[in-house]
Amino acid sequence: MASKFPAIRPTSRTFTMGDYPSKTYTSLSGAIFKRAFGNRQTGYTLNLTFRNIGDTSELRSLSGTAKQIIDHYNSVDGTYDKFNLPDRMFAGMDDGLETLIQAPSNISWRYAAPPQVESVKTGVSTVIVSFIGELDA
Amino acid sequence: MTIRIVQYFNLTATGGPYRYQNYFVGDNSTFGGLTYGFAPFQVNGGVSSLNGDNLQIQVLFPANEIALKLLDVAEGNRKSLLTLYTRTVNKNGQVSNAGPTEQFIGLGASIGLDTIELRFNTAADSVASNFPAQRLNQQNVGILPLDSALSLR
Repeated sequence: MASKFPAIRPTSRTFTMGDYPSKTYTSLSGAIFKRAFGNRQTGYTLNLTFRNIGDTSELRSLSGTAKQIIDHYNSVDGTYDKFNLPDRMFAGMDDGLETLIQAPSNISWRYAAPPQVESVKTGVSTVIVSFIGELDA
Repeated sequence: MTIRIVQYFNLTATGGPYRYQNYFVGDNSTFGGLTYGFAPFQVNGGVSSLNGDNLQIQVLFPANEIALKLLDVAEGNRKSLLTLYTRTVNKNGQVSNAGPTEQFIGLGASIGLDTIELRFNTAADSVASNFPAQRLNQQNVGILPLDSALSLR
């Protein structure tokens, strides 16, 4: 497994739980029939925004830099390789809830898309990253 | 209404048997006293007809190490015997005892960029009314094919 995502605090976070793989057949009557294909949830998503962070030097404690994030993205070969998420990613979340989100069994986190970097002013950027947590075969 | 289905794939080939199931992700599952590891495969095909034509199925794997190994040990899936069990599973992961059990022989494979499809066929075909009243053996027809693709003329 590749290196952890940098231990920096996001300014906003959106998490979506995974679901069990299934298919639904909808009859003409409207009655549905569902078939499950596996016993574990998959397809978790985590979207993080790091607003107004320094490009190469930290502006606030644990705010991180855009370079740290891009360096990590490069080190895990973009969307290809899997990695762990540090606890700090869930800063502010209750421990009981964080456990459910941080440690779903057999889940591997990867970048769902390349990070987006929006330049705010000289040396300051807003970085948006999205991760996907999937089952590894 | 809902249903959970697991398929147990028991392939006999050189160095085998090779046993996999496709429901319990990342886990082993015991079925019929045997242990089946997890492999992400799906079974397609299987059309039955009134004529009793033999059944063809395709087992689709991602092009991973398991599929490459199966391809290798069965010489392109031409020398393999497959027993496929289809069973229901309850919410607690208990597998039913009853369900279809089918046997196939390897028919070859299709290899794609990211998938490997193993093709199988049931060994026996139906006997039609125009079937010759003569026994087919190697003495009168030469080497018999391994599948049922016999052409009667």
